[in-house]
Amino acid sequence: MDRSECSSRLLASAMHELRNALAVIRECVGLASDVARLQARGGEAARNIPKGMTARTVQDLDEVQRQVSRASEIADAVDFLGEASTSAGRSAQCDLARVASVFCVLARRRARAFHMELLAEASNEPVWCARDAMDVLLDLLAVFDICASAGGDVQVCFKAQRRKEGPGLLVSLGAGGETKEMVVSALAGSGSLMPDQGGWASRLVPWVSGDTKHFWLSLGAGQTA
Amino acid sequence: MTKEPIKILLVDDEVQFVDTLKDRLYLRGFEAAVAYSGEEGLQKVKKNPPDVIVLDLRMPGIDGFEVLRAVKKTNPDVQVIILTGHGGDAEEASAFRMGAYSFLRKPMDIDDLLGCIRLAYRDRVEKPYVAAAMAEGGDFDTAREVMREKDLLKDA
Repeated sequence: MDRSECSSRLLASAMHELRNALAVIRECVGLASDVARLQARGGEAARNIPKGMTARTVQDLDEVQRQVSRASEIADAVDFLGEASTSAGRSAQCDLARVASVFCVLARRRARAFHMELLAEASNEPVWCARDAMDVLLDLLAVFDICASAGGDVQVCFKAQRRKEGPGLLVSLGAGGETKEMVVSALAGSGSLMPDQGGWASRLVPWVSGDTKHFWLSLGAGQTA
Repeated sequence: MTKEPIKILLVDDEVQFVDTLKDRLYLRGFEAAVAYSGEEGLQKVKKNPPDVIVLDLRMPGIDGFEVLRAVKKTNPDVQVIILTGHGGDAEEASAFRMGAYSFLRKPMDIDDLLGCIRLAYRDRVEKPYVAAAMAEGGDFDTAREVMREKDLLKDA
């Protein structure tokens, strides 16, 4: 997988998610409009509105707010992806916490298809890494693919951290289904995620020996955790 | 409120969307059943086959393509309208090859969806009658043409 394919896949996932958010907004607003129109008409038309539907349109307004936030979050993530794609190969550093957060938004719809939930734990301050944001997105998508190809059905949480060896991402597996063990095995056996590119190597290793819930995605130059 | 007799099944994992769509269809005189996954959709088709299914493509577990394939195998006369937030030209072509009646993208206008549902139902119900009338009048070529799509769907 190259940067272009990574970008296309994440964009497709984000657009799918965005269309769903817009569809919910359209239907919620549409229902409110339908009910208001029937009420304005009065008589039998108004009486035929099922009990509870009017109350529901009020709740739907909250849903519209939620979906607008969801759409806005996706738009921000797509902006980030656009910038990362444009500056790929030229950018000297990125904030790993921000990249992980953007990745989770972009890949959310794709994750849903595999019964996976992606989470990015917030960081109080940026965790700078001397890597291109697009390369880190590529690594995160590689981790995602490993989990999905092993059956998915697991919660995956990313936390940007700085260890003495350098910056990286703690990959934690949360609640999962029957395939969780297979996901653990696949992650444990993945080792080097991407071929060494100009001295930069990404490696995925157990956080501590024998730990089956936490992995360290090392993003340092030729370093191992 | 008089309900139209079209039996509609909505299959989509986006719960809020599908519930609201169901309500909007109700206000327009249509009763629709709802399934929140491909598995549930297939169970409902087996239990009470609808006239028209409005089907999402990308769902966890059994996805829309698998549902479409299974439905066309067991209930080839059921019309399937794809309604998806995903979907490029390749997905659209695949869906039509597998026997989908139409391919719509979210967000859609409810009147467009309703128009599509009505057309799909009309084709399902009326085609055999139209073909029979043509054949009775001696126009066997047109009768064959009308039924051709139906037969192709059965072979899919």
